[in-house]
Amino acid sequence: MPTGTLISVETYLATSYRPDCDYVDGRIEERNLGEWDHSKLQAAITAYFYQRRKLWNISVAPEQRVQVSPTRFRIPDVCVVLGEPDGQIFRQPPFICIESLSKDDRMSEMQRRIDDYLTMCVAYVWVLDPDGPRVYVATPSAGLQEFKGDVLRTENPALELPLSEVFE
Amino acid sequence: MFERYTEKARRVVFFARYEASEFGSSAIETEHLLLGLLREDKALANRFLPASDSVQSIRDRIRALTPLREKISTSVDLPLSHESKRALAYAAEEAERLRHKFIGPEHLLLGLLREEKCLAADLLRERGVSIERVREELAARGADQSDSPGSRLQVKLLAYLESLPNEFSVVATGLGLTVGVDSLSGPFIYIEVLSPTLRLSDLQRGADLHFGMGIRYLWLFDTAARRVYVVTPEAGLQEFKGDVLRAESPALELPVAEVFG
Repeated sequence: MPTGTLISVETYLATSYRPDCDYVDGRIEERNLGEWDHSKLQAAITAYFYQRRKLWNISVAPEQRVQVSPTRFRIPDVCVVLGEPDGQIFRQPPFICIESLSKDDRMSEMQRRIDDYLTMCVAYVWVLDPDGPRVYVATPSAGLQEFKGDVLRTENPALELPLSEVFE
Repeated sequence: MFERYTEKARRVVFFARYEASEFGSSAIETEHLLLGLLREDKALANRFLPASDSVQSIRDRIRALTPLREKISTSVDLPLSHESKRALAYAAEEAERLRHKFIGPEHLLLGLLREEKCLAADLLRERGVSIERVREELAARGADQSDSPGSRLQVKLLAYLESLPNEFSVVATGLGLTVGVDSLSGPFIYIEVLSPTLRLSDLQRGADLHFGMGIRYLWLFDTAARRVYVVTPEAGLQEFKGDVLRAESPALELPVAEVFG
């Protein structure tokens, strides 16, 4: 949700928000989090990938600032990069960006966030809704699609996230 | 007869029929339509009736003015009285006059007022509700509403659906339309303009609710981002990237350009 007046990229980067906020074309946008269903899912996803970081040669980061365009910074709930990250703020596209839905997340705002990841060439965008539970995947060619399978998979490299591991 | 009625207007008639059976009337009279109207559309009642006038006070007045009879089972088919039929015909004329595609509770209110010698009109006049005042307010509000994305979508879709060789039963809802084969069988498609404030979780809950009612396709239009989403029970929510939305059994095609064009 956008708040306040426009600020510069420099001011955003020099400021710590608690919790951290997205920066979209000069506006600070709050993120919906802080509730148990969201936190539990986010923790489970992070833990799953963290336990396999050496096996798959990946890094996993919860709530990491990612510069998706010169004037936009997004904070995916979880992101996975191949190898080591490129800095304290990620400026290269993560391999996977994962969002854990909160009950107050709006369709239009989630779609804008997804668009930012896809425009940055993030290879895989997954949206997990603990309410349901439901899962969506987004690709540039097909857009947002509900996922009806049991295991989310990537190619090159092949990683997987069995949904039973994160939805109790 | 009720093809152009909104969901709310249909419920007004449904409640009127219930009121008639409660009063033991052998026909649905205008006063029953008025009670159905007040029960279904409280916003309309609050707008035009004095704050002190509750539905119950109007029901009590009707009870005092009409003969006491035994209740009739709701399974008995009750016809509309001649006065009620005329009121509904006037309601359709009022919708035409305001250039509204659909007949809603507000048009039914005007229809009742135009049937001047009926009990409903007497009760409304007693409470200071005049046809001129209702018409003026509706005309003013209509100018605002006709510009909303939901309204524009309804107008475009209705024009398109009317141009098809097959006739469909189309009912307006708050932000969209339901489409059915006819007015007897339930709708199979629900079409809506997505509100910018809609939560994804509410969208899914709404979809489940529609599927429970027998709807098989949800076509959702984000008019600001010019995106289309299709939700079906089998595939769930899918962004639609094609040019023509298609439903089966019965076949219905909707070119996306008809909405965004």
